[in-house]
Amino acid sequence: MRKKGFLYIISFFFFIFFIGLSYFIDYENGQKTGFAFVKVLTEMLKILTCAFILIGLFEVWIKKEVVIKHLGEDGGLRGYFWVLLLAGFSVGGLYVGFPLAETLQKKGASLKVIFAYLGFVGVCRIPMTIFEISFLGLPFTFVRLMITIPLFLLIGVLMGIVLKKKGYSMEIMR
Amino acid sequence: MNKMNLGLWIFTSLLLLSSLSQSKDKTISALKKAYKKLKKMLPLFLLMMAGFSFIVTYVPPELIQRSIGVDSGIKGVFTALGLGSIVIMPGFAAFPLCAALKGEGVPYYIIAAFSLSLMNIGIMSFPLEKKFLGSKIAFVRNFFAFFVCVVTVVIVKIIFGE
Repeated sequence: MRKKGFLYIISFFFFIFFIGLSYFIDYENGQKTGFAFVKVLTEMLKILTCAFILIGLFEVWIKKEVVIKHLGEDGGLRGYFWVLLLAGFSVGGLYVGFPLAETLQKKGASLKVIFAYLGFVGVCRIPMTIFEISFLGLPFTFVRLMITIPLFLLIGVLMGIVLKKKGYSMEIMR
Repeated sequence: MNKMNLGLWIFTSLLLLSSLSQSKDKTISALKKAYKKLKKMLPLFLLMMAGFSFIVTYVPPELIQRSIGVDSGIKGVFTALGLGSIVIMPGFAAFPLCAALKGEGVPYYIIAAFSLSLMNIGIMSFPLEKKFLGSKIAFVRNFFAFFVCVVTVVIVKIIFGE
């Protein structure tokens, strides 16, 4: 793992070097790349900073019993409703979804609910959905939601059941 | 989108303040956790964003638009699915591109193939996903997401009949 981290850092330095060199020799596409990088990074960090602070607050303030009661093995159908809502208010897509899923698992949410959440978070984030409607129209977005939400629910439940039997845990993976 | 960012910051600040008024220690510990999580994914995230900036520069939207626009039918669907799975693009960049495609007469089911695979399948972000789910489960999740994309494309094609 540590070796890999080193690899990432080296590649990133190459990237920075490439951008720097591009400015030095006035290579237009390299400069464009650098510009795009700074733009997307600031845009994403604006969102990610908030998202991670919110996850931090969630970890500290929400009691384990509450998560277990509503999102745990015996939470029933309500649990899926809650994570659908949670996905709706998620920002930043799967990049935020994975750390949040990790937190949910730590707090005792069932794998079914967690994987349903990971499905939902790609398809029904409210800001993204509103944006989509404004560009592609309500009929398209409506049809898309009506198909993807039940499918991801089904897949989440299925993955949760199978993975639970196998004793899977996100913690063990590291 | 900027309004949304502002709202997010106001919301986060308010929660942070109310947390602070309840317990200083807990708030600090929340911020530490936030920092730890951010730090964990930052190296990979930086690399992914570097990849994204290469893509937007060397594979400009016009090129994606052209390659998705040429074929319809099954070939077009797979081009769109493939591009959507590989490319990393935030929503605020993706939907204008989709709208442009629609304006050019590209049917909805191809747009669905592109936008859905973009949001749900991540080949370039796989290393990051692996870190959280493990490579096997990350693969399974992406596989199922691909399956959902295909099913949705088929139903969208039937419903909109283009």
